[in-house]
Amino acid sequence: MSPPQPIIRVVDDDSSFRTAVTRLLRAVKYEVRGYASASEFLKSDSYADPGCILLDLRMPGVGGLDLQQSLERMEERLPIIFLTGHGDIPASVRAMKGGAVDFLTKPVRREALLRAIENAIGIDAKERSARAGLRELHDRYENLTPREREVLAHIVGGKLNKQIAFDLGTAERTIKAHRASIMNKFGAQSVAELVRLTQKLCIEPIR
Amino acid sequence: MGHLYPCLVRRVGSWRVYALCAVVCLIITGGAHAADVERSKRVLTITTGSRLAPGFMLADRELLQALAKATTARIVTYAENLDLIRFPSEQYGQIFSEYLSAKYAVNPPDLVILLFVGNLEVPGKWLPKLFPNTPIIVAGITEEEFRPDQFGPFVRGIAQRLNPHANLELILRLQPEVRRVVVIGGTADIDRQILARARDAAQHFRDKIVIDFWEHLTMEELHRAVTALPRNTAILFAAMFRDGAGGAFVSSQVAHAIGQWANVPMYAMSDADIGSDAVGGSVASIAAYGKRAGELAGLVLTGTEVKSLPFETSSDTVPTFNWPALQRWGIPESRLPPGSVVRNKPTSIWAQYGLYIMAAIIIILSEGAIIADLLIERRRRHRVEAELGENQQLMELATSAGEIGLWARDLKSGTLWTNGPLRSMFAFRENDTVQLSDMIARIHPEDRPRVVAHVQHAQEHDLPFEGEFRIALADGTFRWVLAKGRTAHVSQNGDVRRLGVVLDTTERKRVELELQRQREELAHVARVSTIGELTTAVAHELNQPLGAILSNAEAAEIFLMTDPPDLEEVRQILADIRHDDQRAGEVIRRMRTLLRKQELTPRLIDSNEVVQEALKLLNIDASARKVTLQFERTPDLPLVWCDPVHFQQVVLNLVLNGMEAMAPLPEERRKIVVRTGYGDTGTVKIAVADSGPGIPPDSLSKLFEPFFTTKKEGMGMGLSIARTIVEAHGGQIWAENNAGAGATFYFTVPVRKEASA
Repeated sequence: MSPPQPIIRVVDDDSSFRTAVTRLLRAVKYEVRGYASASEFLKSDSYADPGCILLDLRMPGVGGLDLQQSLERMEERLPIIFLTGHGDIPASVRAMKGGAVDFLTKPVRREALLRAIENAIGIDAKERSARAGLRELHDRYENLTPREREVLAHIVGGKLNKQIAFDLGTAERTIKAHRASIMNKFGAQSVAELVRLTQKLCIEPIR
Repeated sequence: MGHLYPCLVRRVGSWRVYALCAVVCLIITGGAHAADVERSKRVLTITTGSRLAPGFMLADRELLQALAKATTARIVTYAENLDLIRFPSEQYGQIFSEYLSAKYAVNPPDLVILLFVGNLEVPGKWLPKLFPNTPIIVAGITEEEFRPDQFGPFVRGIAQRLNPHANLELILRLQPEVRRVVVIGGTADIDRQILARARDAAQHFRDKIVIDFWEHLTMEELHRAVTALPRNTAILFAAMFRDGAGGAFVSSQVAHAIGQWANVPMYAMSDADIGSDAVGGSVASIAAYGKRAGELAGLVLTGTEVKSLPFETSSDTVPTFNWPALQRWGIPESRLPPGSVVRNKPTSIWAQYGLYIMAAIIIILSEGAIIADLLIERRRRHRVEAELGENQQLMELATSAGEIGLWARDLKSGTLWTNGPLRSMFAFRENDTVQLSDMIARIHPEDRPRVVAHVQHAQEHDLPFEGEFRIALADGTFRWVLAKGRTAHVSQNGDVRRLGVVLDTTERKRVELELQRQREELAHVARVSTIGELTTAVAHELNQPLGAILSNAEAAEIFLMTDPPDLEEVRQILADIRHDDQRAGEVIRRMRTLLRKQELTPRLIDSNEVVQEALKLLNIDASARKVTLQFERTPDLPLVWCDPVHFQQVVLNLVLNGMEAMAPLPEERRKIVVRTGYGDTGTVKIAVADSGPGIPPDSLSKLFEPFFTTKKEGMGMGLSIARTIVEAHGGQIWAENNAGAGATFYFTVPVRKEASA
């Protein structure tokens, strides 16, 4: 299955601009969804689809920066490219601090716009895969038995089987069996690989 | 005064008599040798009493004149003065005798004349022994003193007889109110003799007045008595060489003392007694005695045996008075008998030159009166002239300084009078005769029909006229004037005139136009700054269509590159581009209208439309500021006479002001409602209501003042400009706090204000 096509969300209250941009992006074969307001976007969009947001800074009601704040709290974070008729410095600073990937001023040339969009899509793809890997690790971690999670914490803490057995009041052999099971469940070839993988899970090591 | 007594007391010792005898002997011996020598006659005059006493000079002169008349012989005169009255000391008398003896030892006198002016008593005792065998003429002594038995054989002369009768008469003449006369005398023989004579005289006055004789009083008693005399009493001093206690005195000195002490006027019978304190008296004339002494001396010197001459007495008296005493007792000079001698009268300038002074004063006064009259007249004339001149000058000043043209036209005769400023205002020469038609001809052709009609209407209906119009000048320029006229009825002859003033208002017009220009300039600056505040909104508003245009154009390029080109899509794009271009153009036009610096002209506009236009500009800004901007329009409002740009500017200012006021509020409460509606008579009212914190009551009145601001970054000009604009359009602007939250700004614009002529 080919990776899903990135979708460009255009959020702008100005219909003619929205139309023009949509038209241009579709001409260069992007999938585009237009929204007349931030609230309409929040209500209707499926954030799971990859892509980015072209967001107008100034809109009646919920503005671009407000939408950015709302999206920050969400799991699926789409990269935001701000587009504004007149970008003043305080607003652009706020936008960049809030994680915007770009801050463009209308009228925007195609090259600049497409470069920003490509960049945003790339970031989105990277973040998405990172998010997917992490999610898989979490799933694997979820598959561990409570005893195995306990042993894992000791392993991450750099302890030998003997020490772990002593700590847990069990036989060294039992620990060896747990370790093998954990290695198997995470698909790790070595303890070093296991530790690297589990670092992303932020397991509290027991030393 | 008590100290006076010792000095008055005289005790003449016998030594002096012997001394004088010795001197006399010496002189006689010396004189025998020179007897047969041909020589001039030497006459020695000795005056007793003060040499400066009144009358002495006169007596001297009379004496010398009489002497000169009597003989042609060469006469050498010597004068000595024996002031025994004031210097009664024994030593003085002694030294004086010795002095005479020594002085005249070589050249003894051929004749001695003794002239007495005081009561002395003494001289008779030593006189014959002074120059024995030398003829002596005695004059002035009283009859009683002049005792022939006392003088030697060579002594002759003339004595005075005191006249009590004449003195009593004199007292009654001078003081008719006097009821009592006190005659003061002494106990010496002479005193008694004189008193006896006074008693005789008193007999004649018994039925008129009471006459008392005080002759036995001591000096002390006398002193007390004369200080407490009843009114209507007078004193007549007789003589007093000895008082009641037997004390010896110089009579004239007693008279002097009594004159000072007495509380009533005192009169004296002897010249010597009058002194300076008695009112006066009828006394013997010293001058007369001097004259008689001179005559007698002449006789002796021309060979008449002195022994053959008689002892003469004279009772001739002269009324003699002391002017100060007359003044002291208030006795008018008018009562003095004719021929009176008044002594010690101050020879005042007035007394000496009274007539001249009076005449001079009269002349001065009359001249002064004339001068004063002339001055007053002159001043009055000057004042009137000054007032007239002043009025005229004020008028001239006012009319020329104010360049006020004046005219008056007689409606009957049609004659027109004009002043200089008016003629120059209408560009006539100073000497031109100006008719009404001439004036009308100079009015600017555009204004002429209106003015003529207006003037005629006012004149026909007897109404005041007022109008502003232009005067066309030869160089093609014109001058603005304000003319006012009214009818004046001249009461006397029933004439009716139109009077008027014309003011050159060119400068005022220029200032007005300048003010207008400045106001527009200010409004423009304010608009620019307002738009500066809107920059973000404006840029957004403009970039929106531009952004759309660019994207559309770029999309079109792509569509044209496809094979086959999507022409349908491109056509759609081009349509959109045109639309966006129009949008952008509209924004630019809206901006340019506000930014344009051009003469603004009012016209009839729909306030709803203009407010809508302003709100379009404001909408973007409002959204950026999270302000809900709401427009509540009242449909079908009458058109207002207003400059639309100015109108928008006011709305912009008020809305921006409201938005700024609400900045601290939570977003959901930021709301501005703009309403149009009907105002008071003939106006449309626009209200801009915010939901901010409202206006502090003490700021409500100051809101529209220039530079009044509560904002940190505000200039405080927005509302001030708004007021200037609104008032320039004949409207009003004000603010009120809302019943709930916030404040509402209102302004009115008049409906269909006609253009003024």
